[in-house]
Amino acid sequence: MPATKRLMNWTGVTFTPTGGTAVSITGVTSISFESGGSLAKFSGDGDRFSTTVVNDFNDPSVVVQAADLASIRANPVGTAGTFTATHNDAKNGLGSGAMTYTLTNAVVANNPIHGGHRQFGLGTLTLAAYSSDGVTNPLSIAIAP
Amino acid sequence: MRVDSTNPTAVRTPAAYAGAGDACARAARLQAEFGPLLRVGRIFIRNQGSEHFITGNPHDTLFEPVGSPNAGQPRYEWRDRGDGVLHGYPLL
Repeated sequence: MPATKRLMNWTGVTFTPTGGTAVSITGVTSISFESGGSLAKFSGDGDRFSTTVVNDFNDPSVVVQAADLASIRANPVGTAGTFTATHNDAKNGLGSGAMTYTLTNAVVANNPIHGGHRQFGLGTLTLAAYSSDGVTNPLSIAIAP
Repeated sequence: MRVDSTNPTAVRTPAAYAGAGDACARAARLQAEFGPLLRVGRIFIRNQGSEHFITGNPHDTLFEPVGSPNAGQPRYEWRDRGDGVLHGYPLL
């Protein structure tokens, strides 16, 4: 079945610390990927608007919300590793059209958890990332053929 | 520096090369063309701004990593195939 170009639900959500064992994060309710781009704008002389705008820097990150609090809290802030998640094709699941996101050199930035009376506990894992060579984007995507 | 010319292991394409459409359609076009070229089942596509950097491993980088003996040196020899697409052959 051809890809639907509609994505729904996440699977294969894992964070693997460098040199460590992969931690699967289950009960995922939301994942957000941010490019974290910043723009440098130039104006001078009598300009009333920017005359040049360039993307001079990028700071990609990912935010995961899940009910699997133990996995959210599995690694302390500052832990570096690789984060992977697959956004399933709405009809084909992991088949054709599923998008896999990989954030290399991901670093745990925050991992708060919250639990209320008669509510499922939810945790939020925030990962920043760095580039090994300062040039290569640590965030990559792959589509299931 | 010697080059392994057996088969390209990386590709750089102008961003526009992926064609029109949404991210899924663009990624699917790149997968269909460069998966067989790189001899991998799944390609990993990085948005580098004006171009895409594509390999079969998400950990690949354009240059040697900071802190390594060859930090900042290119990891590939790039050969233009004539339409702006560059094939990368690993430097040994």
